[in-house]
Amino acid sequence: MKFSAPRETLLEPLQAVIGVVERRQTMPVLANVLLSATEGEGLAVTATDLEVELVARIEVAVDKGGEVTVPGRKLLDICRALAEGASVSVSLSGEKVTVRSGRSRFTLSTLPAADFPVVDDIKAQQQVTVPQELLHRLIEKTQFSMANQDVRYYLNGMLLEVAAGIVRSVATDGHRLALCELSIDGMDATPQQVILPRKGVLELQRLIGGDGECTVEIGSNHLRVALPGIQLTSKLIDGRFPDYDRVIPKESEAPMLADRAELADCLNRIRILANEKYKGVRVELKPGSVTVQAHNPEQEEAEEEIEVQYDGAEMEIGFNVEYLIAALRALDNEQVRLEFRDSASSCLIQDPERRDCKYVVMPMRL
Amino acid sequence: MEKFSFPWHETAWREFEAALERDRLSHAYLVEGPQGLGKLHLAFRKAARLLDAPWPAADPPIPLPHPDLLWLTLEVDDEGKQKKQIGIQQVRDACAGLAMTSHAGGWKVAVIWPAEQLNPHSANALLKTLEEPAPRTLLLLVRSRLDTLPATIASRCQRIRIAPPPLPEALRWLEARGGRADWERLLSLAGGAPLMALLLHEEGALEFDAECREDLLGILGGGREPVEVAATWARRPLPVSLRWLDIWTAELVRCKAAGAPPPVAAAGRRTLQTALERIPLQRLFRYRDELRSAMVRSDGAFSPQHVMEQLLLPWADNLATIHGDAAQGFLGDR
Repeated sequence: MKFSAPRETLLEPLQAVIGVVERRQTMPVLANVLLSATEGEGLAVTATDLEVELVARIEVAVDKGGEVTVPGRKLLDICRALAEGASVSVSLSGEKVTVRSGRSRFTLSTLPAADFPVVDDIKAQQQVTVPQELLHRLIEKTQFSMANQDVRYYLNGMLLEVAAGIVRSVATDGHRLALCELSIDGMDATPQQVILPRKGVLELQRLIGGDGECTVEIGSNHLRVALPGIQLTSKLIDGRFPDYDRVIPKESEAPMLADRAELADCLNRIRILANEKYKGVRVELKPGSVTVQAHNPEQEEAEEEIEVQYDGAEMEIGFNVEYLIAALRALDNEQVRLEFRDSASSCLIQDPERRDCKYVVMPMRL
Repeated sequence: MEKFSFPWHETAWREFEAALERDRLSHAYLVEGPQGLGKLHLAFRKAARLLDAPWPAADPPIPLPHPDLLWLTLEVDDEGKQKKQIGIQQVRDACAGLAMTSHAGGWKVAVIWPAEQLNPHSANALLKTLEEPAPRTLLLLVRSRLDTLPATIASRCQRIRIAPPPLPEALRWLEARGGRADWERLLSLAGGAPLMALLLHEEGALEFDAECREDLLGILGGGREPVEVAATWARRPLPVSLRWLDIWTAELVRCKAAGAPPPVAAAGRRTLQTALERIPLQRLFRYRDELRSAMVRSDGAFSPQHVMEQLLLPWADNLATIHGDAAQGFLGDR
């Protein structure tokens, strides 16, 4: 294997994949990245932690094809430390890889490419093509509600659901739930649900967001997203996601309509004096207004009343203020629609017009 | 491969194959039995079978490098020292890994060894997964000591007891594997476990065995100073001396509890009998506990001389008083 490229060209794929190379590995080969050079095509750099695999591809001049694995962080650090604009050549001889640039020469140890656990074929059951922007929206609007290290392991990720013309994402930690549903005209798909683990979600969120489309392949063990220049393959969580439909309250006849920013700002102020551990606030609804109140073990109190459109029954409900704020922040409309039933029922928060995102927050007993 | 065939595993292996055939595998197995029976070899062999990978027979056993094999053991920290427990983070990471779909689309196997080194927290962290692992997931726990694993763990596993092979079989195996030696004597020292006998042979146990017995009789009879004996013993590698002391204590327990013949030459029997009459059985067990925790700790933090003194001094007064660190262990139990 032998190829050469300008430092910047080589740096780009290394930086893109290095995030999944963990510092502590169970298998030594996981500290390495796989370099596969193909004559006439270029170079592919693969990194994996067995949960998420990233493959970055670049066009470089390949003198001789081949593949080998080298210590990932060391190769990145070397490329980073070279002078700007320098030309770098990488070649394999025997069991060592030599990196040359100007008068510098580095010899790196290698491990055979055959030992590197790549996911070749995910045996995709279906493939959908969606605009990157939409996939980004699905993740951004819901990822904050994923559980983290919950024993209910199926909550430590995000449900992705496809059906004809629809893609849906759902995340919940058992206290709140976020759902985002996008319709894609003309998209053909058989209904399928998969749970993408937390790490895969966050890594994917980091990569997407540009213009253009991406291809999502869904297999029974993996999910693969192909973006220009980079491909992410994540394992899935082996479990069933709870029936989220059951926990989303029916729309009520007397919703509360409020200015989103005003309500968020108000909650933000009240939060300061809420109990640091439980973050509980009391929400009092009256026709035309809502009062938010909090107090803490130091007997300090905060209270604020804001005007809202509401003509339903008077009630008092306790909520975790962080969950309310997170939901309000995730929306982007000027107005927000909140629906309450009684003091023991959850609250549904959504955009009064677009209604593509739904947030459910469970009440707290105060 | 001949070297790694263990005839005394065959029953367990056949049962495993049969269960696999009938799709009746348990979700978790606890492989248990005395040290030196190759239990970990058996676990890896099963893992290799399920993962459809070649079994990398090697001694000491090594896990096959397969992305669907999770290998939980004592980690080595940044300073190169082996940790004494399987930590909670290790277990959490493993459980998270087992909750994922498999890499190759087949089975996922976790091998946990030594299972007795799971601390209470890590054992608790394992419970949920052990109770209800994802489909096509197998947990294999391997332990040599019966005393420390929480019952909550053991009760969630199907237990596989590996027993030492009958003497003729063990002798045949040892001769084929290790050539000529006084295997019968070594096997009796090893409690019948062939791999332990092999290890003792490599350590030259037979050469110092008689010497050690003399030394201990000397201490029991009052003729030798424990400190002086400790100095001699400290010249041998610490794990070797500790292992010998463990064998000795086990023999005394057998002798006391079951009336087995005292494990010394005729000349010393009287001394040993008198001493044994004075030592309650409970004390012997307590001593054994202390010894075993010393074996776990024998990583160079204390000088061998110090460790040996701690462990030999109690014999001078028939385990009546306890010294130094050891005392805390004993009294703490009460």
